[in-house]
Formats: sequence, structure tokens, C-alpha cells
Amino acid sequence: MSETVRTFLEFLTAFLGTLGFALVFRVHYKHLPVAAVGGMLTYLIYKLAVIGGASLLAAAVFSAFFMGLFSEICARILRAPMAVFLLPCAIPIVPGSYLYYTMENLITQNFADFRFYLMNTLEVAIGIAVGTSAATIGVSLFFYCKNKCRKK
Amino acid sequence: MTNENVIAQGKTSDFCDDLLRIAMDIGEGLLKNGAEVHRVEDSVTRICRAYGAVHTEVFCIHSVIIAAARMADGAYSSQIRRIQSVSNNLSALEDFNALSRKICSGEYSFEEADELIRNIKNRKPYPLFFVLFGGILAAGAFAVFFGGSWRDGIVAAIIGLIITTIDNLKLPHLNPMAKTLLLSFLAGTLSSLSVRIGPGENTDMIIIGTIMLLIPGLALGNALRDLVGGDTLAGTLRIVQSCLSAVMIAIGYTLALLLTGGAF
Repeated sequence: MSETVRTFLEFLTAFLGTLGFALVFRVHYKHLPVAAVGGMLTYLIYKLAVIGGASLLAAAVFSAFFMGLFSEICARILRAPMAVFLLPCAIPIVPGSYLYYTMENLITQNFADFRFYLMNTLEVAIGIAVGTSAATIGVSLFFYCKNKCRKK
Repeated sequence: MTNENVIAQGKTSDFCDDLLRIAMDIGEGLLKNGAEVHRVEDSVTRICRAYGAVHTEVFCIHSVIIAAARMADGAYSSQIRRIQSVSNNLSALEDFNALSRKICSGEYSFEEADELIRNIKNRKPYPLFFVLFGGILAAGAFAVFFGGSWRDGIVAAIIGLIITTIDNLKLPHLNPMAKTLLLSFLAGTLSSLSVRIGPGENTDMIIIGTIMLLIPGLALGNALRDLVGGDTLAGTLRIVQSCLSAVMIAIGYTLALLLTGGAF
């Protein structure tokens, strides 16, 4: 399979997978397309960061920051809780495969690889936490300042 | 809603009880369907205030809400709600959140608010067909996403359907941890066997596709937002809960792989 086809397939499956998870999380029908596109864009940012030479942690922080901003903005425009968009969007960057390889290497007692995959899992998980929190704090600060200015 | 309205309804402790009951109904609806603790505490407080409570105290963790309200004339009520299980139901979360905003805006009388809550509880549930289809799509797509072939995708989709179906059965006596263990054991066994028998190609890709359905994403996401939002106790409890369920998933898959001898 050529590189282009593989990349196209990755984005297509990221879209479909996010849509699937949005359905599993019982997201309202009207928000399904937004959530699925959000998941795909989040993966795009992640992929671009990795291609640009960022570490796993940095790539996770960037994409999670984008995802947090995206969900905050959609939540305000479409008047829904932020979680409705945040949870499906996060799915493509959740380190599911690293988690599996961590476990597999633990069972086969391959401790060098076990440590490697465990570190990667933790790195991405921490990156997602930091990125989304930063976005949330940033947005609330922005609105706080805006309201302050308006009152004056 | 202003104080005159409250006087018209009689500022008795009965009203205080009813008010707190309504506020708790909304809080329960939010928490049950996956809201963070801060949102629940905030909603309950605002609703009580909107109908004339002068003092409210709310404390909430993932499994319980404790609230007390005092009216201007000194009528006092305190109630506890125990929440048995938290589910992923973001459309219900959205509905309860919208209702909470509506009620807080003060456009509705107390009776109307009561009626609205009853309506929301009797609303037609999210079609199960959609959820099952979501399970198929999610597992199948992610098996291919992480590098599996189309045959892996189809096998993962079928296993995804089985997992989501069992997950949505009403099994009140089954402990949630045991359920996670059982589901991951089942998924692991089926993935491994499918490769042995023929239809699947890579056990790891099929497993990764199905593992995504079991990872407690909602609980972990809420845990982090609770922690960052300053609700340390609730966040810690949820983190412990989701780590335990991650351990259960690992044990389930490990047992399955060891028994069927797949992948090694």
C-alpha cells in the first residue's frame, strides 16, 4: 500500500471511528458531524506535529490544545456542554495501541520494550490532560478579561 | 422567579423540600449521564437560588450528592441522593444542562419546572440501533486506523458489535468491574481465535480496535477535569476507578491471550 493511500485511509478511519464513538456516547444527532470532523482535525494536528519533528508529548499537547479550543468554541456556538465534543474528538489520539503493546511486552517479559511503551502511553496521556486543561483555562481567562473590559 | 411568587406559594418547609427535590433531580440527571462535579454543584445551587433560597450548600462526588437549602423565612431542608451508576449518555447530559439553564433563567414557575423535568425523564431513549452501529463503526475503523488490514477491520467490527450489545444489556447484579473483566476476556478470546481459525490476520490490530471501546474514556476525562477544576476528592476517586478498570481490561486480555496462545 502506498504512503498516500495509507494516509488517506488513516484520516478516513479517524473520521469514521470518531463518528462511531460519538454514537456509542449517545451524542445528539445534530452534533454528530461536528464531533466527527473535530476528531479528524485533531488527528491532522497530531500528524502534522509528528511530521514536523515534535516529540510525542509535544504533539499530544498541541493536538489536545486544539481539541480543547475546538470543543469550547463549538460548545458556545451550539449551546451544548463541552464534553459532547471533547470526548469524541479525543478518541483518535488516545494511546490505545501503546497501552496494548505495554501489556503485551509485560506478558512476554520483554522489559525494555515494556518501559518504552509505558513511557509513551504516559507521555501521550499527560499531554492530552495538559493540552485540554490549558485550552479550557485559556478560554475562561479570555472571557473573564472580555467581561471586565465591557463593564469598564 | 421573585420573592413575591414564593410568598404566593406559601413559604413553608414543604416548598423548601420540593425545591430541593427538583434541584436534586437535575443534579442527579447531570451526574448520572457524565457531567463533571463542578457542573452539578453549580446547577443545584443556581436552581435553589432562582426559587428564593437564601443559603445553599452542595457537596458532590461521583456517587453521591448532598445538598441543603434555607429559605428567607428560615424553612430548611437537606437531602441526599445516591447515584448508583454513571453512563455515557451525552445527549441526556445536554438535555439536562439545557433544562437547568432554562430553569435558572427564571422564565418558569415552579410547577412548570416540575413538569419539564418529568417530560425529560419520559423522553424517548436514544435508539439502541444507533449505539450498536457506533460500536461496529468504532472498533472496525480503529483496527484499520492503527494499521490492520480490511479483514482485521471486519473481524473487529463484529467483535465490537458483540461487546456493545453485552455492554447495553441490563445486568443490575453484575459488578461493573467484573463486567469489564468479562468483556475484555471475551474480546481477547474472540480476537485470538479469529486469527487461528482464519478470518483475522493480525491479533494485535483486532485487539487494539476493540480495546478502545472498553477504555473508560468518559470517567478518565471527567477525573482530569475535576482535578484541574479543584474538586480534588471527586477527581481522585474517579482516577482510582478508571485505573482499576484499566487493570481489569489488561487482566482480561492477558488471560485470554494466555489461554488461547495467540500472539506469542
